[in-house]
Amino acid sequence: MGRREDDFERVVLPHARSLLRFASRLTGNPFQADDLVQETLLCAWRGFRQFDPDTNAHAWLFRILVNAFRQQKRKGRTSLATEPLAHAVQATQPSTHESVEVMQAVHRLSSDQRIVLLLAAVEGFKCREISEILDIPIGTVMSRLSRAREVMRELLSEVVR
Amino acid sequence: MNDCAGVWRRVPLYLSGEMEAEEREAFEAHLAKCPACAVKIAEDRNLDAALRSALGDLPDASRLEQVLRRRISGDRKRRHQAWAGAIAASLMLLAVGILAWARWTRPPQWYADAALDHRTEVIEGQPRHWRSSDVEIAEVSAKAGLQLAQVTALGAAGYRLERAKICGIGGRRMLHLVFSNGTRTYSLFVSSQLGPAETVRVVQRGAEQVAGFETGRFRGLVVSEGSAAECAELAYATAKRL
Repeated sequence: MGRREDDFERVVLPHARSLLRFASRLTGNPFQADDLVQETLLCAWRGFRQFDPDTNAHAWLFRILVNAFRQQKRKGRTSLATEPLAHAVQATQPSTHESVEVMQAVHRLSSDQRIVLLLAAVEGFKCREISEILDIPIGTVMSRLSRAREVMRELLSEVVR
Repeated sequence: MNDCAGVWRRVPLYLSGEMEAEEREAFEAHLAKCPACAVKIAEDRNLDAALRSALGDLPDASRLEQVLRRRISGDRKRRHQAWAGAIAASLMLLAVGILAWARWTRPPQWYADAALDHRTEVIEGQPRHWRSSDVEIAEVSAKAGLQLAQVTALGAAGYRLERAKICGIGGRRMLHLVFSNGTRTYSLFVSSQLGPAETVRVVQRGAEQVAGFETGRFRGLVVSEGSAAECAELAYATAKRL
């Protein structure tokens, strides 16, 4: 393995699990999530020469993933896994009753609201980082996040009280 | 910070821990005296905790990583093949270009032969069997399909035909004529037009300039030691007289 592959393994691959978690919560479809993460990591591999190791790899990868998701959405793609993983359904989808209820509520949000909520609440990104990932003003991040939480509070009134 | 709406706009920054200390203190002071805001903040915290609890498990990505490694390997191979193909095509083009350039720029062999004959036989005066009488010149000229009057008239203004002989130039027999004006000498090689026409041009071979020309019936070479322009002018004038 060359040095570029070594660096890629060291810098990028540790984020694969959180990318897969985010993609599966975002799409609600394990095959599409798998496809999305594969595309994200391939894209990262192709652009890895230009990647500045002093910058935030985690945010960079999520930015690629969100862009890929939007691109797939524009093209109307739903499930396009090139090499579907049979175990992915069990591995990435919530299974408890409460988890399913939360997942269903998340999918009643608009995709813009869903993205900021998942990035903030599940992935732990700061508002400033989300603003950079999505390339939108921080004020927009805050208003989308507030609105997403408001909708979720209404949908999951029993869970949050 | 007493305005509840203002507080609500800033909640995301508070929950993510991005507030400056001073703003956070004011924010918390408001929560302490506003139960409605305190409840909403608690609900948001509960919501985030519920989301992390329900959706926060990290999936196993080992299969995906294996698939990715295979795809990267395939991607690298394809890119290497594409590069190798592009490099091979470029080298091929370069080689063809060099060959074409060399073929185009290399003077024909008969230019080099004519320059060498002029150098050794005229300038350096190596012994050769020259014909210098009118009768002898007429005899060798006839072999090139020319009459004595024609060859004597081929000389440039002020130049006189000194001598002639038949020689082999580039594998063909040519009439070698030497003209002189007393101070300068040039050679003219003439033969009947046999093969396909060649581009007329002037090339330098050592100290000699060699200008090729052709007419409907003859082709020839002028070899002189002047400039390329002078040599070309001699060739042009000769071609007009033939």
